[in-house]
Amino acid sequence: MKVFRFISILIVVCACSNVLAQVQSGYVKSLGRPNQKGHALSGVSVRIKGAHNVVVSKKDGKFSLVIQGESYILQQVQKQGYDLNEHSIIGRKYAYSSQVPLVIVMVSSKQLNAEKEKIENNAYAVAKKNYNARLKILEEEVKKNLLTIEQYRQEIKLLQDKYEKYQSMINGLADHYAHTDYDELDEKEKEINLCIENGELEQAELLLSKISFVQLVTNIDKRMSISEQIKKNATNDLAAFMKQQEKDAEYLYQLFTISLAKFDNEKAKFYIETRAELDTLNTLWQIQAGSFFMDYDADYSKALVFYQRALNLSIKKYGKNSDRTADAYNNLGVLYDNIGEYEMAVDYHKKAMKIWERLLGQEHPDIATSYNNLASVYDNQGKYSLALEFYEKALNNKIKEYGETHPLVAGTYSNVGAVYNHLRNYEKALSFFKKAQAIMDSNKGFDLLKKANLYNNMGTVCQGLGEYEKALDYYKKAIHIEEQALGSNHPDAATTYNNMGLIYSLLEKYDEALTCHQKALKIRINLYSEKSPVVAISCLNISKALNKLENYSDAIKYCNSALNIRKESYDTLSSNIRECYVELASIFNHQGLACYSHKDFPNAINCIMKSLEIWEDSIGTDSMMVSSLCDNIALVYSMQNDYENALTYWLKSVNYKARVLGGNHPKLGDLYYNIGIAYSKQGDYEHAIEYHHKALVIRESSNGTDHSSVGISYYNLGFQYYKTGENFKALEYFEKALPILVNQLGNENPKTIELIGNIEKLKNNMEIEKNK
Amino acid sequence: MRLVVFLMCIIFLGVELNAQIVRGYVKTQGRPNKPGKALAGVTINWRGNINAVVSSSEGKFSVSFPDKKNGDAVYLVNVRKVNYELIDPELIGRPLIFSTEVPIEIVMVSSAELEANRKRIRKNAYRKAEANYQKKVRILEKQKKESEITLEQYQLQLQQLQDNYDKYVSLIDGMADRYARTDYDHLNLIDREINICIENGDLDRADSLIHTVFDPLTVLEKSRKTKAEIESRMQLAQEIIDKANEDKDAIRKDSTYAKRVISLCDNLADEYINQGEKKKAIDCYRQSLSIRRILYGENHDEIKITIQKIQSLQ
Repeated sequence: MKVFRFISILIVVCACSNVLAQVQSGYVKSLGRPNQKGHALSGVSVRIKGAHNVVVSKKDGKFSLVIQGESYILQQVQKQGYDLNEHSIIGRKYAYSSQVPLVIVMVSSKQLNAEKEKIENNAYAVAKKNYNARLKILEEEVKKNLLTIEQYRQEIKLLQDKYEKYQSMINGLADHYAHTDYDELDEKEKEINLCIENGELEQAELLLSKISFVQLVTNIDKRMSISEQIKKNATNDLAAFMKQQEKDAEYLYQLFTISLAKFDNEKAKFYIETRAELDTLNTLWQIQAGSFFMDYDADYSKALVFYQRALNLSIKKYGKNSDRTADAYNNLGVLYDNIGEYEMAVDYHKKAMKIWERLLGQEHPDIATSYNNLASVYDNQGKYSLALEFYEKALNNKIKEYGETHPLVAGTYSNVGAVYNHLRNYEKALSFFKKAQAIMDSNKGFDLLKKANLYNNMGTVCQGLGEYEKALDYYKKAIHIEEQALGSNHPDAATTYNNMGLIYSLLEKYDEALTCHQKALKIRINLYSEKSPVVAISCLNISKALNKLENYSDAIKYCNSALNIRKESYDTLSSNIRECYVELASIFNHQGLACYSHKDFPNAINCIMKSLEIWEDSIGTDSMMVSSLCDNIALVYSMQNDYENALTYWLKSVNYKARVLGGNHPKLGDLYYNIGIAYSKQGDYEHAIEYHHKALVIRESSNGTDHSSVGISYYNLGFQYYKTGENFKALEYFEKALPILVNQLGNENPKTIELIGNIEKLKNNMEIEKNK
Repeated sequence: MRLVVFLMCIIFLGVELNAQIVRGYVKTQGRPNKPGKALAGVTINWRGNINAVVSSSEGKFSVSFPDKKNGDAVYLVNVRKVNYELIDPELIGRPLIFSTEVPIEIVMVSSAELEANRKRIRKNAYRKAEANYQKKVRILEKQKKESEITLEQYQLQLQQLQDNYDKYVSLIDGMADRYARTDYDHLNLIDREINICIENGDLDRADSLIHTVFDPLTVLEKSRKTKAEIESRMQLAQEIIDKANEDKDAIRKDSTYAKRVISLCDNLADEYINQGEKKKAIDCYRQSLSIRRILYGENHDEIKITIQKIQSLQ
């Protein structure tokens, strides 16, 4: 303990001796006056606080003070016959400086008194002069009756008061100015001070204002106030300008809506764009211009400019994570979805979603919009499982907020159904559409068109499921609403009628199909021109129904109108034109077959020939249809026993079929057989044998060796050999045919009986020849 | 007891002095044939104020904000009256300028009236759109007949027209709502007429009226010119200020000289006071005040003292 105390004392001692002694230089001078500069004063004793010794100034007035630490305090400055010019320096604390010397100014008492007296005298003289001058003015004014006597007296009294007061102050004033050290002043300042001391105040002020420094300061103030004024005026003008701009913007919006109603999109575009450009910092105007360019004009690059601007503004004005910024991201997401840049769309929707999730939480109903939009992009992208995931999220939020039966929930159910429809999972699609339907049915005020749209979707799904009757029911519901809500003259109604017609065709109710297509056609002709592409569709569908109803002449008429419409807008090689030709050919074929069934063979041939011509001229010959038509023509000729022509067309048919299917296709079997028959009828047995052999080979390989057709082929071959006189071969084939026919057709079949008869006949003939 | 009352008075006085009061009024929407009138009994909530205020029989209300000053933003949280709604729903949450001078205006409309107006405007818009559609179709047909356009062009344009019609119809609701919310009290004569024409579907007249007061072709150019002109003035002012600030900095750097001029000015002022020349003394003090402001800024004791000196002379 003792040791410790000792150490601490030691440290204190050390600390004391650690403070370095420093030398502060200085000098003493006498007060500088206008007519007498200050000079060095020697023999002045100076002492600082805490010092034992007095320091005395040398001949050049200089002295050195030894000080401890960074500062010192003057305690005493003395010289016989002299006073300090400024008494307050005693006791003042000075900072040590190795650079700047301490300057002490002293003044001899004698000189000070003389200066004071001089200044006092001047002041009195000026005061007297001013007093007299003022008095003289007052007297003049009384003389001129500018003042009443009463006023005059008051003024005189005031003047005297002032004069007396001033006199009482002259002493202090003189003392103040007598202490001014002229050595410190520049020439101008000296002059000013002199003027003040002499009572020439106006002159002093004039001199003061001439100092460039004062001019500078005055100048700065003036410049500041001028610039403030400019700013203020500009700000006022800006406010007025903004007000005018808002009015201009309103006019532009009005012109915009007027142009829209007149379907003058070019003008509308100009107006909405001008408004957006009027103030590129107005977020709303940018957004509205953007959505016009996107929805109306499909000018996505321009829409992008405005949406991008809106995004930047929102970030700047409302912050990176604000609601408005999320809105802007969402708009960009929808835009990119529209132009098919799905990756970007997903990116922006996710950004919007994150902000909303942070601001509103995952369960808020508003965020469902974001989920919905994102899901829609995934749906378009074909990423159906992701689409379902986000639709389900949207669904959950909406159900939680609005309950199971809210119209908004129905919309999302419908979206989910559409995804399942894309996945061709019709059952699930239907179940979601049904949920949507249930909600719509329980809400009276539901948007009718959305309802009709849903019914149409449900119809499509049922069609996919093959449930045509149900599909029909839904279309009927849709058409009912559309006719009520939109009138019977709306394109949506025409589409629904069209769908209904197609279903009726699938159900083979062609009368109803015809009625539906006719209604669709009527609406479309009313709405569009008679030459519109959708009119062509209806015409073609009507033609198809008429074809089925065997009203061929009308069918041809409608099909031709469809063809003519399409010829004007499509290339001759396009599938749309081809479709018409195929239908037209089909009608002629059916017409021909109808004639055939009425035994009107010449017309039958005529019609089917036309059909064949259409195929060969306008569609192409690499279809099975062509050979079928040839078959049909040959058939009709053969019915007329015109085997020469029949043979021509069968050969043509074989040509096509062999080319398309290959020479050994099972379908060729019967054809070869027919050709064999035709050659035979014309007496060309060699060819007949050749084709019957071909037919036999194919029939054996495709039908099996014991098929009745094989038996018939053997029988025919035998017959050909019989005709060429090759009786042994003939008998061989007859006997091959017999067991097959007996097995397959039975003993009682006329063909079998005929064969047995022929065999016996042949054997008899052969017996006779043998005997000869 | 008397002391307590007195103290309370002081406290209340203190609060009243500090509180900044905004005044305002609620009125109904002005329509062409029916100017808006004061609306009483509207409950208004403000952000940062727990208590709602209710509009008086003259539609007036006042609300105090203890710590707001002119130019600050204040926000409405809720404005309610049964069967009424705001004509501008965006008013909620939008920053309103706090001002003790300019009253805040809130405009409401009865929901039934708004719906009726919306319906009427919507109906007129549909009617007009349909008529315009038919007109366009007829023109196209005529052009086709006279072979001014090819069939292909005709079909294309017809399809576009149909598209436009559908899109326009989808916009009608929003537009009808916007026009139904127009407050006619704020419109001048011609603007009233324009709005009436639009609401009634008399679009050609609205179009020509607008063109008499407004030129859409030059507006952008004019606006850009004005904006550039104002901006250049602002810039000029800023340049002057910047240069002055540079000079101020230079003065601050050489403060010893500045201080000497200050004392010269003060001396001269004192001298003038002694001679009873108050005006001249004030001028001198102002001079020294200017220099002091440059040296010390606004919140310095010397500034306050000099200002007091000037005030005592006035």
